[in-house]
Amino acid sequence: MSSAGMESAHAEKRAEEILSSGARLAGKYMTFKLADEEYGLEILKVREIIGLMDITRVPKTAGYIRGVINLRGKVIPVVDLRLKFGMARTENTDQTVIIVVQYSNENSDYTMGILVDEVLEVLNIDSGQIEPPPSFGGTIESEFILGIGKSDKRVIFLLDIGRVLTEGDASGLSSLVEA
Amino acid sequence: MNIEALLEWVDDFAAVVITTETPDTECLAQSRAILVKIQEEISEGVLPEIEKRLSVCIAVIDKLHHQDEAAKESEFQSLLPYLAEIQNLLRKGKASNRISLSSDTEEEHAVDDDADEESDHFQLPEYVDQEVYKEFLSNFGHVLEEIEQDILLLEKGSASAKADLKRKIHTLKGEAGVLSLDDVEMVCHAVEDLLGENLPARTTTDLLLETVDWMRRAGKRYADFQYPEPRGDYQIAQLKNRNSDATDSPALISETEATYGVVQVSQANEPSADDLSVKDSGNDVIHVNWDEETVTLVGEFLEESEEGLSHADQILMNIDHSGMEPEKVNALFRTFHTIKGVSGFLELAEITKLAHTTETMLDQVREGKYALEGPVLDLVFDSTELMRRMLKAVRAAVENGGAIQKEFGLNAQIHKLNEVIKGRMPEADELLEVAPGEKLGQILLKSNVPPSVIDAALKAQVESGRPLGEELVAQGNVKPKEVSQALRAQRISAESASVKIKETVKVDLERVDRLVEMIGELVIVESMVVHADEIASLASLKVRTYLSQLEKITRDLQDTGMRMRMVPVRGVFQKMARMVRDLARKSGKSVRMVTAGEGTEMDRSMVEQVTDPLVHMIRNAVDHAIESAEVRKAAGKQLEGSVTLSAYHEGGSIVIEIADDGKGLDRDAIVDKAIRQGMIAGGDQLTDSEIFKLIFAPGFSTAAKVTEISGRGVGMDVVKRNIESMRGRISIESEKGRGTTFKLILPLTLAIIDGMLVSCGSEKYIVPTLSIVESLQVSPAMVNSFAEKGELINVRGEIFPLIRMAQLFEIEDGSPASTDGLVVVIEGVGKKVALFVDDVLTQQQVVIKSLGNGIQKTPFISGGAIMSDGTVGLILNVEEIAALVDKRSNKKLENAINATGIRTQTTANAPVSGALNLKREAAMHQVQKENTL
Repeated sequence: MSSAGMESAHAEKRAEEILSSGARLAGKYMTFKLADEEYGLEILKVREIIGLMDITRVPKTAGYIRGVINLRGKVIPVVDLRLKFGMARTENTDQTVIIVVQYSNENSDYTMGILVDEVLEVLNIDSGQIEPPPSFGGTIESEFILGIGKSDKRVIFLLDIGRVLTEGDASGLSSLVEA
Repeated sequence: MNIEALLEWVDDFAAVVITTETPDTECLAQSRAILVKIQEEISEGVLPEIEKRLSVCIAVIDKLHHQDEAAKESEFQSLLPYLAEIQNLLRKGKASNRISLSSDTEEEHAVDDDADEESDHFQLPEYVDQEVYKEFLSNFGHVLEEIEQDILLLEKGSASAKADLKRKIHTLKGEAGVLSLDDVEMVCHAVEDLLGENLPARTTTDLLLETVDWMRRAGKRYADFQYPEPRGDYQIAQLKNRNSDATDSPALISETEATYGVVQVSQANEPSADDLSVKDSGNDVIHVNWDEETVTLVGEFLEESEEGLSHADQILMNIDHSGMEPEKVNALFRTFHTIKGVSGFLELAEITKLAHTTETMLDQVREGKYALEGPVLDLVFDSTELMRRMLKAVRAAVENGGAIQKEFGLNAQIHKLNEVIKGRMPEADELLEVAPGEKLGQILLKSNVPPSVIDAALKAQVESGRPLGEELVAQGNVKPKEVSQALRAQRISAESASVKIKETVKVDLERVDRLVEMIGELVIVESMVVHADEIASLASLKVRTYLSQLEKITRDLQDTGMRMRMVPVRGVFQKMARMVRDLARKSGKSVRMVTAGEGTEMDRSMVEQVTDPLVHMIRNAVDHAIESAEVRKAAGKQLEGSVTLSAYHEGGSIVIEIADDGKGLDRDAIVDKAIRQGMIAGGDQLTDSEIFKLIFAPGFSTAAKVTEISGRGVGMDVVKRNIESMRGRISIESEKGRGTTFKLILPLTLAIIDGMLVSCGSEKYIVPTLSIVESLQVSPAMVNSFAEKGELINVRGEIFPLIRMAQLFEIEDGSPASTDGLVVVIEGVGKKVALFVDDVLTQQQVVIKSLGNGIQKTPFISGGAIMSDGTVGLILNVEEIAALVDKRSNKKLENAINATGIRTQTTANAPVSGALNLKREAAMHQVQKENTL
């Protein structure tokens, strides 16, 4: 399948979009760590950060879905972002937290928890500090990335969390098959 | 010729009729001349309504020439109503300026066409606030529901309903006018006109119900900012056209026929007329000449008959309370039958005739052609009353010697009875307006019963202990009919009162849901606090008391919260009553709808969900189950079919029962069909309930022709699916030829579920209690493995596929191969499977929560619930698990095992459900994989 060409074209188009709206991307980001990498979430999509709690496994679902938790009476799913990105699963530490994010997609609101290794800080990133996402040659990551933020020589991948969590369903199916 | 002049002529003529007691020949000739003149003036099909009435009048006058004085007088007076109608029609014509144009209908069409050319788009005038408009429309449906209810009450003869209806229509008209919904406003106005006229109840209600339907559709169109389709003009035309139709038929035609009928009879049999009044014309007595023996017989007859009549009155008065039971109608029938027999023997022809006619009518009631209620009931009262007077006259004649004084009104009564026998229902007398809660005595006072009489009866009542009504009748001061009517008025007002009494506040549903959700959270936190180890270790009595108080309040709060979502099933039941009425009308069957337990409350969202299945089942019942009148007669059943819809609580569930007295399910036909479709094997011994459940199978219904399975099964799989999605069950009882009863057993609310907590390894799951058949300890001997892939379990001879939870859910620390554990037999989509778990922990109620829309698909899990420790528990989707097992292969397998007697290991390669499904799943995954690559 000659999808690689199409994909890169798609990525370029996205890059243009992002460049043109570079100013839109400027703002506050909540940064967190997965392994040694730093990621950023638009602060407006973060509802709260909660410590690790008992997660009920939901059988027969995608591997990256760790299960569901009780968020003050509401049941929400928790996604292990490491597994989502195809990274190795690690043991939970006392730094492991769940970031509760809220976003809208196609007229419905989603509330989900994402499991990350460590929460860092809230960063203000100017439009000048943001670069368009590089092409990784059609890997899924570039789809999930709004742009790359630079701050004090640190590189922060700014995530399009809605895309990460929603579009993951397709890859979720494939990981279900592999599981 | 102008209308004014015509009107004047009619007025003059009416004056003549009123002032003339007995018209002489000259007067008749003049009258005829006037009528003919009017007829000529308005000739040529311009005003068919008026013409029709004029011809009737002329015909009556023509006949009058040959009749005796008494007949002349009464017949002449009978012209008056026709004249009044003609006047009305003329006035209306004048008002609408239509009279000299073409006929009404054509004009209506012209208006209709105009409307079609206009754009459909409805523009809200600027001065109307959108919010107000929306508010009105959202309330509109509710208002229409109330109106519909009033219409149905009106059909039963409630006067207060009519007043209510008028008021509501008027309010609606005003509101619609403010919002410039001109179509609705105009239609309301036409309805008001219709209500102002006195049309036969049935025709009116038909028209009104159609109009309500139109309004409902109009409301929907307006919500989309479109004009109603068809436009209001059309509906008004319907109302008006039908309105005049209604006056023609059946009311007018029946009257004309009746007039002709009477006239012809008296002409043909003039010398030896069938009633005595004619024979002894001008002479109000009948001379009798009885010997002593006959006198004794007559005395006995009078005694017996009077006793019989009193008994009949008592039955009649009680019929309204306890409904019409066949024995009671039989008893009434017997009373009149006996009177008829003996009076015939004694040659008391008048009495015989009255008894005979009443008996004929009662016979029809017995056959179920119509119910003994309202006007029909009044008619029987009239008969007993008249009969009693006639008996009194006979007694007077016997005691004093001489002739029997004739009773007036016999002809009229017999005429009325005959009308009913011919199937034309009389107009209901307007019942008294009664405020809810009024006592019988108070009502009777209003109907001009003197207070002294009631006081006396009340005093006597203390001694006799009889109900006031019976006491009054026993004292002979009040007619039983009056008591009965008063009781009916009282009942109707009580019925409508029970609806009105409650005051309500409208609350946004989202807010209620949020509140209920928050209460749910509170309950969980409360339970976490109460059960926290730190608190449990506290020895303080004070703290414990507080905590238990807190617990109680929380439970109460939860209860109240849940109840906020509950609404009575009344609304749905009313819809069904309406549907039965319409369906019965359409199919030409006579069906009586009985509802019970309308006050039973259900979760709001369930009420909506249960409507669809009910519609299916009721339609089936009326369309297919209830036989035509001929078939019913042949089967010795009441001619009128009945559909009973009732709701009640049973245990922790709500039961909705739909019972019909139709032909019932044909067990053999269903079995035949199922065998042909390969759903069951020929040799299978199935219980009735198993067989009846087959009708729910998808595809079964569509393939089976209506006649083959008594029509049942149309859409039944939809019914089943709907009910199961509400976590409900259906049970069927049916007897061929006697009827069918469907029971929908539903949970109290969708938000809460009774669950059994089971564990497997370190994980816990909730199994809905409603779908658990049983749970039992397994011994290794019960489990049969099949080609080392599928497993079966033999429970007391019944064989189920065994599904191991550890395997199904890939639970790492579950014990996949052990036989030491518990089996929970669950049932979903009519299939039973055994679920192997480690332990059954406890039963508890849980609040169902969605797992969040972040998780797209959760196979075998229907939702989550917050457990008492604050973690999330998962609720099993029993239907999905049961669907794993293919019913057919399961059956074959079972048969194979039964046939060969092999009970343990076998290597036969018959398809095993479990294995099959594993394969299918693998295949599906393969496909998915390919799709994603």
